[in-house]
Amino acid sequence: MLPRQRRKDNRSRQQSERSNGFRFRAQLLCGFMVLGFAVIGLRLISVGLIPTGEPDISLDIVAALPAERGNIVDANGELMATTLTVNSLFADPKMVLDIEDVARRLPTVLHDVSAREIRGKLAKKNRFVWLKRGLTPHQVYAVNSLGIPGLGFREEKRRLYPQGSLATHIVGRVDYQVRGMAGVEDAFDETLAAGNEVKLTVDLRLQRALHETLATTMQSTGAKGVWGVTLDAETADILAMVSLPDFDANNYGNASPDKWLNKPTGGVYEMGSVFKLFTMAMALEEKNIPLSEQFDCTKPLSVGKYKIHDSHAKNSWLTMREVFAYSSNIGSAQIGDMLGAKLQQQYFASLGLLDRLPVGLSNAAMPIVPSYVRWKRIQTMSMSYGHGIAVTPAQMVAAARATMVDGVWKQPYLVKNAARMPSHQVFNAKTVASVRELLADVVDYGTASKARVAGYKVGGKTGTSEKSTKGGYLKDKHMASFVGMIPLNNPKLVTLIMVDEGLDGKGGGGVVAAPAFAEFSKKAMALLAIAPTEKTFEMLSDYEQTSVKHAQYSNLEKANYEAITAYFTARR
Amino acid sequence: MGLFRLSSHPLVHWWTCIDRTSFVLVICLMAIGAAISVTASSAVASSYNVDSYYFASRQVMFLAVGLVLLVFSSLLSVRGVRNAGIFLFLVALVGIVSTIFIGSEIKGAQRWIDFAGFRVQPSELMKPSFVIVTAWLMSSEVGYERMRGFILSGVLLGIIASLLMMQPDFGMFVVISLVWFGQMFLANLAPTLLLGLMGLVFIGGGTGYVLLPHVRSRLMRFVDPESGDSYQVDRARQAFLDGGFFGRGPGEGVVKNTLPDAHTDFVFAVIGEEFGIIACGLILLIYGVILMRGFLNVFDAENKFVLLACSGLLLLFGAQIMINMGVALSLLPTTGMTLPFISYGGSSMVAVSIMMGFILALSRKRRHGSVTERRKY
Repeated sequence: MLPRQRRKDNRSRQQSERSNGFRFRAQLLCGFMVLGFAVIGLRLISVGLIPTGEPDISLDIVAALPAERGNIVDANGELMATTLTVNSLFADPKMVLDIEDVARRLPTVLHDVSAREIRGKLAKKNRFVWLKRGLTPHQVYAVNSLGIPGLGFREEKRRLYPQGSLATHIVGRVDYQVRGMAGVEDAFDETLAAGNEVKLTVDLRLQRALHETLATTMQSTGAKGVWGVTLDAETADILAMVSLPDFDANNYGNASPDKWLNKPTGGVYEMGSVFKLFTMAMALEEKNIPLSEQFDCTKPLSVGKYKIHDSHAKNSWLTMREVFAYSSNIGSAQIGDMLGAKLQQQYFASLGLLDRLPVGLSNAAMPIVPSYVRWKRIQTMSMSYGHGIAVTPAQMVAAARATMVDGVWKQPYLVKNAARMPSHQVFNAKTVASVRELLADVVDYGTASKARVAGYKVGGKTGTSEKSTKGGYLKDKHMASFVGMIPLNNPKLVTLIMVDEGLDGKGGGGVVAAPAFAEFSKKAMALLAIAPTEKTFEMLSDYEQTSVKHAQYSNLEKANYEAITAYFTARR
Repeated sequence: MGLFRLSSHPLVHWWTCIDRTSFVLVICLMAIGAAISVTASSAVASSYNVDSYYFASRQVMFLAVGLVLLVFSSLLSVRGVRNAGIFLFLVALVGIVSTIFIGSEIKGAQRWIDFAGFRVQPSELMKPSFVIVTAWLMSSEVGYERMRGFILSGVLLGIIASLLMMQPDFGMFVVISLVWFGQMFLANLAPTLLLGLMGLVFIGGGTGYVLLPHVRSRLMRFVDPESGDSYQVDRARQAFLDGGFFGRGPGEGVVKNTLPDAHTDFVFAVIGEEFGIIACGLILLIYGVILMRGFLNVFDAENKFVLLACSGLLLLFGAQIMINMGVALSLLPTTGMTLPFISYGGSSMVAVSIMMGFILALSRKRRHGSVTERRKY
C-alpha cells in the first residue's frame, strides 16, 4: 500500500492540516539529514582519494611494526645510546594463590625486591601490579623456574646508555614511553623514533679526556661545578662538552634535579675578562689602533657614580698589549668607550651573543643583555670587560673561536650532517693575526702562564668574574674561566673551561681554569696525534729561558720595564 | 505468497506488516559488523593479551542477542513500545546513577558498571528510551498537558545532562540534546522558547568546555591540529587514503595496529583501509535507505506519539552515524560514538537493536493497533 493511498483515509480536515504542518517540519529535518549524509559521502571521496599534502606517515613500515628507536653514536661510531628489549615482571593479585609463598620465594631470585614490598603489592585489589621492571634473561629464567601462578612477563623497550655519566647531558633522556625528554634524545626525537641512527660530532675520546680533567679539577679545587666545551677550530663542531656535577644517564630519576642542567647550553654567566678578547678585536678592526698605543691605568676609572678597578692593578700607563695580558679593566673600559655602544652592539650581535644559540640539544638558554635603550655608556664600558652581560658558555666559545681562529662566525653543533645557521665574516685576517699575538702574550708572560703545554704554542685568555647576587656582586665568590686554542699557529681545538667557586670561591681563571685547559690540551694533542712543533719555554735550558725573558723585556716599552720586573718577581 | 499471508501465525503476520526492506538491510549491516569485528579487533585483542578472536566471538554473541531483541521489540504494539521505553528509561537512569557509585573507570571516564561478568554502559540505553519518554510526554493534543510534558521532559534532560557530565560523557550529552531539540521542533514548540533553550544548552556546553579538560583539548585539537596530538585523526585519514577505491583487502590493513579504538570509534577507518571507499559508500547508502524509508513512513503516521517517537529515533540513528563517520573522516572532533550494528560493543548493540526494533514496530503497517489482531482485508 502506498503512502498516498493512505492519505485518503477517513480523517478530519483539522487533523490533516495539523499533520501537514508536521509533515513539513519532518521533511525539513529529513532534508538536513540527507544533507549531512551527502557531506559525509563527499568527504569520504575527498579523504579517500586526495592526498593530504603532508608527508606520508608511511603506515606500511611505521605502523605495522613500530620501528625500534635508533642509536646515538659518536663521531667514530662508538655507541652512546641504544634500545634493548627487556622483560618486566608483573602479577595479577587475584590469580596469586598464596601471597606468603611469593613473598618468601621471589626474593631468593630477585635480590632487590623485598618480601615486604611484595606483600604490599599483592594485597592490592588491582588485577595488575608491576613487581620488577627490566629483568635480565637469567632472572626471567629463575623466576619461571619458581613456577608461581599469577606472575607474568611483559616485553618492554629499555633505553640504555653504555657510556654512563660520560656524556649524560648530551644524550639526554627519554620518558617511560621512550619519547625524548632532554638532550639529543629530545631534539632529534622524530629521527630516532623513526628508527634512524643519529651520529654526533662528539669524539668520545676527547669527551673522556675533558671529563676526567674537569673531574680532577672539581675535586682538587672543591668547586661547586666545572664545565667545558671543546670545538673543532676549523668547523666549530662540538667535539666534547662536559657539565659537572653529572649523573649516570641510565639513572636519571635518582639524580638530584640541580644536576640535570647542562650548564654549557642551559646556563648564562657573566664571562668577565675573557670578553676583553672581543673588545680588543673590535678596536683592531674598527680603529686600527696599534698594539703599542698607551692607556692611562694609573688609577681607578670614575664614570658617573661607578668606579672601575683592576684586579691585577699595575697603576701605570699600559700599552694595548699589556692591557690585555694583565687583563686591565680600566684599559678595556677606555677602549670600549672609544668604540661606543652602537658598534659594540653590532659586533656582539654578529658574534651571536645576543640571541639564543641552539647547538643540537633541546635547551638553549636566552642570554641576558641590556635592552637597546639601556645600552648606555657605562653598560658599554662594563661589557667591554665582560660584566653586565651574561651568555651561555656555548655562545662564548663560538664567538671566541671566530675571533681567534679565522674571523668567521660559525654555529657550533653536535650532530653530524645537520643544517646549520649560515656562517659570516666578523673580523679580517689582519685582526685575527694581531689577536693571536695578544693571546700568546697572555700565556707567555700574562695571567695564564699555567695554560702552557709543553711542545705546543698556546693562546688564550683568562677570566674571573664576581658572581652576581640580588643587586650586587659577591667579592669572594668567583667564576673562573679560560678560553684558549692549541696549537696557536695551526689551531685544532678551541676550548672553554669554567670553574664555579673553586678554592672556596677565590680561584681565578689563571689559577683554576688555565691548568685544567693545559691538562686537557696535553691529552687531546696525544689523542689526535698532533706532533709537538715548538720548543716552548718549559723545554728550554735555564740559559735559554733567561735569554728569552731578556728578549721579551727588551720588546716591552721602556716605561713599563720596572712594573713588569716587579710583576715577574712577585709571581716567583 | 497469498497462502502465506493468510496464515494466522503472529510471526507471519509480523513479516507481512513490517518494513521488510529495512529489516533485511539491518541484517546486512549485522553481517558486515560480524565480518569487520573479526579483522578490526584482532590487533586490539593482541594488545590486551587475549585470544585474537576474543572480541570477534563476543561481538557475534552480541549480534545474536541484538537480533533477538530487534525481532522482539519490533513485535511490540505502539502502547508496548511506549511502556518498554518508559521501563528502559528508568533502568538506564538507575544505571547511570549507579555508575557514579559503583562504576568502573575506563580511560578517565566512569561510564560502565560491571553486571554479571559484563561491562554495561547504561547511557547507551538512555538514548533510545529517552526519545520514547519525550515523545510520550509531548504527545498530548491538549495545550496545557503538552506544556506540562515539555517542562517535565526538559527537567529530565537537565538531570540526564548533569549525570552525563559527571561521568563525563560529553558526546552522548550532545547527541541526546540534539535529538531532544529535534523532537521539540517537530512537536511545534514556540520557536522563541526553542531558541532560548538552545541558548541554555550552549551555556551548558560552554561550561563543559571550561570544566572538562579533555573536551577542551579535543575541540582545540580539532580547530587547530597543530596545538596538540592529533594522532588518531591523522592515522584515520591516512587509512582512507591507503585504502583507495577497493581497499588493501580484508585483514591487510595496518591502521588497526596503531589506533586504540579501531574496533569501536574508528571502525569506519578500518573499513576504509581494508575494503575501500566504495564499501564505505555502500554502508552509507544502506544507512541512508533505512533512514529514508523510516521517514517516509513517519510522514503518514496516524498519531502524534508515533510520529514524535519514530522521527526522534530516526534522528538519533542518523546523528549517531553522522557523528561516528564525521569523526573518522576528521569532519568533527573526536568523541566516543559507535557506528550502529558495526562497532564492537555489547551495550551499544543492545541499544541500537532496541532502537531499530522500535522504529520497525512504530512504522509497521497497521490499522488497528496490535499485530496480534487479525487483519481484515
